[in-house]
Amino acid sequence: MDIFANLAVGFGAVLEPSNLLFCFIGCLLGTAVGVLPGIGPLGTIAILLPVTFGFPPEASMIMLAGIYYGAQYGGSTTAILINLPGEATSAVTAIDGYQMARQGRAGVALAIAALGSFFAGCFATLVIALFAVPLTTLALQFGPSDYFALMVLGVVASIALAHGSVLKGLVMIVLGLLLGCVGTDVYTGSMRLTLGTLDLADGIPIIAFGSGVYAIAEILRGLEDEREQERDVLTTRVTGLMPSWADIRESAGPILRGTGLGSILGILPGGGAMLSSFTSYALEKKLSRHPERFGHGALAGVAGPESANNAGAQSSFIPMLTLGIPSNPIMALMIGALMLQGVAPGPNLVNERPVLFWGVIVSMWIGNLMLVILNLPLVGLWVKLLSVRNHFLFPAIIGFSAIGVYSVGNNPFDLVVMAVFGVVGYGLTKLDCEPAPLLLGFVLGPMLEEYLRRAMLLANGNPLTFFQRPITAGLLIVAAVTLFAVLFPAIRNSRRVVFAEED
Amino acid sequence: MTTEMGRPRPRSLSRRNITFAAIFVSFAVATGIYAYRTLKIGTAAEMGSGFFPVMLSILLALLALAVAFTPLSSGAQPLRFASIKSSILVMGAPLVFGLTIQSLGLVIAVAVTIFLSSFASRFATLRQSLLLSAGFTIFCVAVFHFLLNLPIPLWGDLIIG
Repeated sequence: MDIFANLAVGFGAVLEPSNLLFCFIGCLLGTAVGVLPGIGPLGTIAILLPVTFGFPPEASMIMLAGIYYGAQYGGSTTAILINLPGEATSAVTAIDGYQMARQGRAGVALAIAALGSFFAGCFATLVIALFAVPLTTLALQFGPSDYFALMVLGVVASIALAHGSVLKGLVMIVLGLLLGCVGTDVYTGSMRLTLGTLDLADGIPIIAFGSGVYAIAEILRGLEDEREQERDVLTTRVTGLMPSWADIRESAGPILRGTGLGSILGILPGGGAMLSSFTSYALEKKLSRHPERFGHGALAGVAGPESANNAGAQSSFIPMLTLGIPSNPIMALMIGALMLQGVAPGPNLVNERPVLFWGVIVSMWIGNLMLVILNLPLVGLWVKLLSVRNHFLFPAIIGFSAIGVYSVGNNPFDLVVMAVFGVVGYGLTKLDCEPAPLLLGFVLGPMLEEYLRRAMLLANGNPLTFFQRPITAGLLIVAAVTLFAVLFPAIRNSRRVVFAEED
Repeated sequence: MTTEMGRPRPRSLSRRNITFAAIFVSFAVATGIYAYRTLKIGTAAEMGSGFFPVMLSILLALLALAVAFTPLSSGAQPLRFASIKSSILVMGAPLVFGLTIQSLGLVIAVAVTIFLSSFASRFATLRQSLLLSAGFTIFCVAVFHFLLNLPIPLWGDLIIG
């Protein structure tokens, strides 16, 4: 079988000492930001992206990937021990995990969360390895209009599945697309919307944009309501890490179902870790013979979602690696990282850069193993990290981001961009907008435009081309149905709350 | 900043969403006009550089206008802002770094940026900020200069000459 040869290529890449080290650093950082509430994998990747600029592409991708799935492990520690989601995806873990901790079963909850994540991580890696090649072959037959339709579907699905206002999500996407237009037009070479400055000729720098919207805006949000932090760490010494056979039997089913669910939901555009964990919790509660235990320390409520979020985090790499299309903002940044390295993401990646492609996949296996070791015996260390005060942390984040932004192009103008988007990002949160669709639109913009222009050129300007190819038409219809499905209940509900509305 | 108008507004409309629409519609119109006047539109078959931006501007304006007629979502957070001092210090921090990095170099730029931005917190003390900025500067120089070999000079033009 080919797959073994491919995996061997991957192992060859990962077992190189330097790549192993980067994988470890990624997992370590991921766990740390997962544990710390207020800073997540998205912000961390945005900050560290420019730092990886000097690394070889393999090392850079391996490390950044480690941050994403490492954060899924770390997030559960905070959720279980202090009832605060260290990371948004572990919000549901806090419900039952914290109750378990109060009953003195913190060790078991942590162990099951880590082991479930480990199992899910291994399984999802296998899924990626098995399906990546068939998917790329399929993707190579896609025409420009198919790609266009696929991206439209991805954008629509990402809003439909996210929380918050659908309409504002759409506005954010379109604003992102528009900001993505800034810079030199690849077709005609003319400058677009650059306000007459050469500094914007290459477009708005993505790192400066991301750091502004995430780092600066998030820090300001944290400073709004500053109080002496008194985090109620339940147990500084966690004991009883070994789960009993009964615990393992009880959680086996939820782990298996969570893994399956996460692997599927992660592939969907707009999916990923968050959606997977919420769906898994709902599923387990429905299937459980004792649904009344949920919310009072049900082990299944920890095992299922924790497995699902890790599986989802990893399988969301599939569309990114095979199609070059990001299914969530983190993948959008990964694509940004690839492009900074001069690697073109897309279906040709597996043939052109097999070492990179399989190296990243195999690194997830190794990384998951490292994470179990990092998270279980060393849990006491991470608990200590929770006592670091925010007012020591945020100046460091600013300093790191500033160096990162500057290092990409050695251009002080990029820092002006960062400051401007910090203001914009903070303003948008005050208008109840999520920055995630903005970033997704920004990265997708140039690709979406390119495929649109190519499709229209091939069809001689006839927009009916989008309905003549079955794949294109199918994808667009699914997108339209999804959009109506989420908009209509919104309109109906809004009618109902019209009278209760208070500003 | 929204200006209060004399007449009572229908309760179904949220002031925050109207502000939202006003900001975004103006932005979309301005961008659309800018793109239309400076770029070639072309035809559907051979789109000029302005086709996509103008199309997006129109779409953005329409969507933003629609927001004005929807009520605020139930999950909306109450409006609360960071203090003016914090905002200026945090938002200005990248600018401070940008202004000093070339003339004074990495060491001073990082130290000054960290030192100033730390005062955005209510809990900052002079002693702690000095320690934090010194410690973090040493850390950054070690990581970025010696470990990662980033080509950013430690000392700037003004110092070395």
